[in-house]
Amino acid sequence: MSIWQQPIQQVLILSLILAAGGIISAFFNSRVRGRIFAVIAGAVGAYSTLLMVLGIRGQEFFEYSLGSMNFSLDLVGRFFIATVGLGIFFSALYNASLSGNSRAFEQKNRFYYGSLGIFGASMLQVLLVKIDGTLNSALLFMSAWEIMSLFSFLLIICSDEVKGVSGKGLTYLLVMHISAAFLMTGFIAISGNPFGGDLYGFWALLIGFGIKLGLFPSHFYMADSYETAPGASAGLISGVMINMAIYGILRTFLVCVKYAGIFGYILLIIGIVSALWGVLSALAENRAKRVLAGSSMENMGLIIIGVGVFTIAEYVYNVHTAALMALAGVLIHSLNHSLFKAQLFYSVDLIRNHTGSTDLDKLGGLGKTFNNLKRSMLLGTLGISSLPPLNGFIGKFLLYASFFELLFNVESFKVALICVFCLVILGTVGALSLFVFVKLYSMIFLGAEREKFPQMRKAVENRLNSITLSAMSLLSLTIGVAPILFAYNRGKLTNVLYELTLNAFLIIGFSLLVWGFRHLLVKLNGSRKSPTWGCGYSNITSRMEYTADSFSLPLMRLLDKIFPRKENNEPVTELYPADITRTYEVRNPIKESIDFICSKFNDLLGKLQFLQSGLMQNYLWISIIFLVLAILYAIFSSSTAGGVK
Amino acid sequence: MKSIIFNIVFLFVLPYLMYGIAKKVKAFFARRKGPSIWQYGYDLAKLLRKEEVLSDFSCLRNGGVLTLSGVLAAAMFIPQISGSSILNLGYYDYILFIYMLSFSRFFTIITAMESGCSFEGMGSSRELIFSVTGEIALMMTVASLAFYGKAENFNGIFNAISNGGTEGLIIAIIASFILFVLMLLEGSRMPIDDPETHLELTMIHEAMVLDQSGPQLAFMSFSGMVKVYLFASFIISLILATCKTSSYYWLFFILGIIIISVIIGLIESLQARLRMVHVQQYILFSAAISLILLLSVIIFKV
Repeated sequence: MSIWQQPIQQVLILSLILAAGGIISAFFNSRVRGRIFAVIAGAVGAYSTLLMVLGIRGQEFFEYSLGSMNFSLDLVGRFFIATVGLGIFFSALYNASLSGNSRAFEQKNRFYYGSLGIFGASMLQVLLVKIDGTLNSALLFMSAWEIMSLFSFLLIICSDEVKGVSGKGLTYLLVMHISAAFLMTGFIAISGNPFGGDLYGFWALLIGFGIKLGLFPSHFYMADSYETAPGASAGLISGVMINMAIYGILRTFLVCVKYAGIFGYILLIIGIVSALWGVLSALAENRAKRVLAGSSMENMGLIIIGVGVFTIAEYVYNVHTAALMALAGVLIHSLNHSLFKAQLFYSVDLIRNHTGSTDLDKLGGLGKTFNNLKRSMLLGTLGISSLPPLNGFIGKFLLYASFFELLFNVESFKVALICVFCLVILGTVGALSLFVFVKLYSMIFLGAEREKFPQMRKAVENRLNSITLSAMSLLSLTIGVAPILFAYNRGKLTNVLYELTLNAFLIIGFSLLVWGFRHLLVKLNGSRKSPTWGCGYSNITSRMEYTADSFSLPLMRLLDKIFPRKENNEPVTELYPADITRTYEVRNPIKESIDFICSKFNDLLGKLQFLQSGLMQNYLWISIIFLVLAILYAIFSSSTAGGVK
Repeated sequence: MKSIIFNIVFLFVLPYLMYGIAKKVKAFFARRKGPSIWQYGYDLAKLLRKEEVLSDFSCLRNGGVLTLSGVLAAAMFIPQISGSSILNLGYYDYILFIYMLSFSRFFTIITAMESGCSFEGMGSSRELIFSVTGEIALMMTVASLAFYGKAENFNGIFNAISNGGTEGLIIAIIASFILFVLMLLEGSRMPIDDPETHLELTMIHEAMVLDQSGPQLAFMSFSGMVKVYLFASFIISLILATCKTSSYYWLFFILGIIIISVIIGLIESLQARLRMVHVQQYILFSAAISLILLLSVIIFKV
C-alpha cells in the first residue's frame, strides 16, 4: 500500500492535471472537448472518493513541504477533497451533455472548460494548505482562495443570459473581494499566536467566511448570481465552492480554543437565523433557481449550527460523543449538500434549456415529458428535504443526535434550554424545507401543463444527462442507505449509523411490500385513467390549478413584516374586464438597503464631479492646494508633537 | 416474537375500530343507531376490491403506497398493545418516528398535487402550514420527554416516567394533552378538520384525497387511521407507565384505546370545526403547552 503513503503529492499532481486538462480541452472541438475533460475529471473524482473511503478507516495525518509551502492532509481534508472531486466530475459531465450549434455557445463552452479546470485545481489547493497560523500559510491559502473566487466569477459570467449578467457578476466579484479583505485581515491578526489569537481576528475571519457562505445578513447577492449563472456552474458554486468556507471555519476556529465558548454560541445564533431566513426566503420565491439559492443558505445555516454545537461540546463541556456526532454531521451534510444541490441545479437548468423558463407559475405538468428527470429529481427532492432513506436525513439525524448527547450529558439550565430550542428549530426548518421542495417539485412536474412550450420536443433528455442525474441521485441513495460506510470503529457513532442503515432498509422494505400488494390488486381489479374531478367542471384545465403563489401565500401572509411583497393588484372596475395580471414579487430589504447606501454614495461622488473639469489649470490649482495643506499639516503636527514632549 | 405478532395483528385491527367507536359515539349523540363499529374495516376491504382510477395528469402512481409504508415504518417504533415496540432500535428512535411521519406526509401531498385539481392544492398547502406548527409542538414534547429520562429511545422515556412518581405523572399528563391535540391534527379530526364535511373549501385532509380511488384511497385512509392509533398508543403508554401495570397490560391498553376513541367521538359531537384562522392558534396553543412541559422538566431535572 505504499502508493497511498503520498496522497498530498498525488492530489497536487491531480490538480495540475485538472488545470492543464481544462486548457488543453479548449483546443478541441465541442464534442470531443467535453468528453476529454469529463474523463480527466472522472479520474480526479474517483481518486478523491477513494482517498476519502480509505481515510475513514484510519486517522492518518500527512504532511509535505515544497520549498516554503507547507501542505497537510487529514480526514476533514479528505472529505472536502472528495466533495470537490465529485462536484467537478458531475459538473463536467453535465456540461458535456449540453449541445448547441451557435458560435456564442461554442465560445462559452470553451471558456467554461478552461475556467472549470483551474477552478477545481484552486479548490484542491485551498484544501491542501496547512493552516498553522503563520503568515506564510495564510498567504498561500489566500492566493489559492483568490484564484478560486476569480474563476468562480468567470464561471458565473459565461452564461447565455444576455441581460444583467455583467452587473450581477460584478456584484458577486465585489462581494467576494470584501470577503477576501476580511479574511486577510483576520489571518494577519491571528498570525503568530494561533492558539491564543486575537478576538478581532476571529471576528474578521467569521465575517469573511460568512460572506462566502451567504450567512444571514450577507446573503443578498446569492439569489441573483446563482440565477444568472449557467446551471453547470451554479450547481458547482452553490454546492461545492461554498463548502470551502465551511472548511475554512473548521480549520481556523478549531485552533481558537480560548474563545470556543463565545464563538460556539455565536455560530449557533447565526446558523439558526440563516437556516430560518434561508428556508423562508426559498418559500417566498417563485423562480426555481432562486428557491435553490435560498435553500443553500438554509443548509449552510444547518452546517454552521453543527459547527457551533461541535465547538461547544468539545471545548466548553468536553462531551466527546456529541462533538464527534456534530463533526460527522457537518462533514456528511456538506458532502450530501454538494450532491443534491448540484443535482437540483442541473435538473432545473435542463428544464430551463428546453422551456426557456424557471418560473414556477409557467412550468407544470412536465412529468410526462421529462420521464427520467422526474424520477431522479424526486430522489433529489427527498434528499434535500432530509427525509429517509435519502442522504440528507443522515446529516440531519447526526445533528439531532449531537444535541441530544449534549442535552443528556450536561446538567445545566442554559444548555437544556439551548439544546431543546435548537432541536425545535431543526424540526421546524425540516418541516419548512419539506414545504419548499414539495412546492418546487409539484409546480414543475405535477398537474396539468400550464403553458405549451413550442420548442420542446419529446426527446429532450439525451442519454448523457439522464445518466449524469441518475448517477447523482443513486450516489445520494447509496449514502442514505449505507451511511455505515462513513464510520469505522468509532463507538456510538458507528452504532447510530448502523441504525440508520437498518432504518433505510426498513422503509424500503415496507415500500416494496405495499407496492407489491398494490400491484397485485391492480392486476386483479384493473386500473384506468379518467379526468380529474373538478366539482362541477367536466374537465380541469391548467387555469384552475393551484399556482406556486397560492401554495405558499397563506404562510407568507403571516410573515408580511419580514418578507414584504410588492403586489400588483389591479382593481376590477368593469363588468367585463380585459386581461388582468396580478403579480407578487418578494422584496429583499437587505439588498434594498445596500442599494440605498450605494446610491447615496454615488450621489455624493456626483456632487464632487465638478472637480473633474478637464482643465489643466484647475488640476494644478487642486494639487497646489493639496501640497500647501500637506505642508501645513506636517508643520503643525510636528510642532504639537514637540510641544507634548 | 409472540409480542411482535400480537402487535402486528392488532396494528391492522385497532385503527379502524377506533374510528368505528368514535362514529358510534357520534351516532349516539344524534339519537341514531349508527353503523357497526367494524364499518370502517368493511369500507377499506371494499375499496381494496375496487378498480383503481387515476387522474389523467398523474405520472407517479405510487403515492398511496409510499404514504402507507411511511406510516407502517413509523409504527415499528411506538410501543403498542404488548407493551413493547415491534422493533427496538437503540438510539433516538423518536426522531425516526417523526421523520417517518414526514415521509408519509410528503407523499400524501405529492399524490394530491398530481391530479392538478385546485382543491387538492389548497388542502396540501393547509396541511403543510399546520404541520409546520405541529412540528414545533411535537419536537418540543419529544425532546422534553427524552430530557426527562435522559432517554435515548422510547423505552427509556417510559421507564423514566414509571420511575418518576408524581413528577412522572405530571409530565405524562401534560405530554398526553399535547399529543392528543397532535393526534387530532395528524388524523385530521375535529376540531381541526372535519372528516365528514361535504364542502371542499373547508377541507384539509379530505381535500387531498378527493381524486383518489380504490386501493390508493384505502392506503391513504388507512394510514390516517394508523397515525391516530400510533399517537393514541403513545398517550396510553405514557399513562400506563405511571401506573406500573405489568399483568393484563393488553386489557388496559384496549381500554385506553376505547376511552380515547370515545373522547374523539365526544369532541366531534359536542363541538363544531374551528374556523381556518383559528386552527393555527389551536395548534400554537399546544406548542405553548409544550413549552410548559419543557419548563417543568427542567425544573424537575436541573
